[in-house]
Amino acid sequence: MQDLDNHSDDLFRNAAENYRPSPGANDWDKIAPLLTNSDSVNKKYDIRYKISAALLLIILFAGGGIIATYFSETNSNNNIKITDANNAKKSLVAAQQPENKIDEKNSKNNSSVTANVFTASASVKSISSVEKKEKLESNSLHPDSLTFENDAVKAPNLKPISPDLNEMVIAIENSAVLSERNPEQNNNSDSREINVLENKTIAQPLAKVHPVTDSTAAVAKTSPSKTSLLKKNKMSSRQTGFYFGVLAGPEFSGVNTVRFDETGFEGGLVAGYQVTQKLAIETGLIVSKKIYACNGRYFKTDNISSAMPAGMQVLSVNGNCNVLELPLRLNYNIVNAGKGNVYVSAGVSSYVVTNEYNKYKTLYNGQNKEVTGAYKKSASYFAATADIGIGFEKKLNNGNKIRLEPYVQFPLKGIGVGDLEVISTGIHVGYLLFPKK
Amino acid sequence: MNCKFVIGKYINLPYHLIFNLLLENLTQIIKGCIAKDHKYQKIVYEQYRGFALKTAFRYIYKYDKAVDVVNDSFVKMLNGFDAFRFSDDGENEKILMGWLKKIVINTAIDQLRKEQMLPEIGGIPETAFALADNYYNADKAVLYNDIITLVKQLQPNYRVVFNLYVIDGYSHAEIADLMDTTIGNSKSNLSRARAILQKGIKKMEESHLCRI
Repeated sequence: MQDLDNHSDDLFRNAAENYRPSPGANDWDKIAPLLTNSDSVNKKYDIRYKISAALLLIILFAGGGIIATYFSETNSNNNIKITDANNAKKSLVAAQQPENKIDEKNSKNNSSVTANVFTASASVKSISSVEKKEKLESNSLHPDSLTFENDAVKAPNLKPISPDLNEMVIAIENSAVLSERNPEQNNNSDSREINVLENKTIAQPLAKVHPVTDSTAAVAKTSPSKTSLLKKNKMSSRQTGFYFGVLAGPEFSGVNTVRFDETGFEGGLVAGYQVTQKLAIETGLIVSKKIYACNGRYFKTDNISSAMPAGMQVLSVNGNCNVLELPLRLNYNIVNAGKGNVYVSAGVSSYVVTNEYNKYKTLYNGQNKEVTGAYKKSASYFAATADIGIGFEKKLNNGNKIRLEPYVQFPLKGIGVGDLEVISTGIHVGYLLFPKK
Repeated sequence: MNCKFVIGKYINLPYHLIFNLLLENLTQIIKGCIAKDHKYQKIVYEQYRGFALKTAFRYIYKYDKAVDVVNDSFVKMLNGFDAFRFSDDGENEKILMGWLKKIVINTAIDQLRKEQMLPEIGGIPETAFALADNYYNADKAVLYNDIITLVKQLQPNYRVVFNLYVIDGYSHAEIADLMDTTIGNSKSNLSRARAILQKGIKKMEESHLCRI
């Protein structure tokens, strides 16, 4: 009987392999509309990515433009100062020409450096204080290039041009140039002679000093005692200390790539401390709703495998989750203008996922099935994302600020039941309160 | 040695080259299907439609319904192509055909369940089967078509168990799981199916002898 069964089984297997049903009509046209038209979806996403990339570029260019504008303004201010310095130099020369004796040979050979020294000497004289006069008198200089017959010549033409020029003066005053003196000339108190270009050892420091005149930072290096006063003056105008605020804005999330077809939300409270004029540390408590969709391969089924039938395969996931975010960020001002500032922000955010709802498309026994899952068990994730952003803050008349901050949160670890690495981007719009001291 | 080398050089090498090219082509097609490219999806449909219909028509009595099952199966497969896992040992076609066969069988069983496994009425038209390629194969083709017709004429629950166990190589445990029945029930259905088919084959042999 068994042999008969085996024999007939072979017969049926052979027949099943070789029989030929009628091929019938090609039904591709019927099938094609039922297939997921991923091409169009991809094209749609391509367009979205292009738009978002374009927006990002616009934001970056706008930011760059703002920065460039601020820098150009700063430069133009510096140019004005330099022009002023040149005017002062000219006036000094004009005043000095009838009375001063200039060593032509030296001035020709070292004309560029001489100009520096002119500026320097003009600036030195612009202080026109008794203290400085005394200093100059005591510091008798080399007689070769410039000789001032008396104090009356230099004093009237040399008024302080600007505070920055004063800084320049301080820089030069404290530099090695003017401190190098010829001891032989100490006794020659009738005519004070400034040695400008006696030799290279003097000229070199001068050449170095010149660019310093454009930088207050360099001033701080050269003159700690006097710049500390300047610092104090500047600090008085800064906003330091604690601040608080509210933030809100739309958020777009996704796994692997950000999806812009569904909009999430993010909003909450922030608190920060302005450590220095440029640096602030900030934290907060932000509630966000992240909406995501992804291919099943990104979804790890380890956490829900016990609830899933054996052999079920997750093809895709559409879901959302509510997250409590605890950010810790450093904000660094790259542009600090009077009425506003531009900063870059970097830090990490820890997440507490409070609830999650997922729709799964699955393949089970060769059939597609839709399964849903709602999870209310909260789970926390320390440093779940690395955050970067660029922010614009505008100072209001009451001293508070409004903020606009595009940001991106890159996943450092997976969140939720599927350990999904959710990437998010959005714009924070905020209002910051700076308590008055 | 030289002879073998020469044979290997001139015969085996082109064969391997062609084989590799075919494999590469299939890999490209599968990748295209994963990317939901209609061009490659159509290629897969056209290439494996016959195979799918051959499977479906053993389970589904009516030809039109079998075609519908095939179409549904392709929709499922092509929409879920992301789940395809590439094989490193170049057996992608086997995997693809096995996967398609599984989908077709499941879709066919679903279809039969929808109809509550009720016996079908009416005969199977001759147009449901293709004509033989040539005169010499005509007899064999008729024989195979008749044997399959015998299987198709079984009650749906016997037909499914017989097809699954004898032709598609499922175990009784798998059949019981798939059909939501017991293993014993599966075995009894199979033995009844076999008994019916053996009677049918005897009748068929007699009729063939009568013809001669």
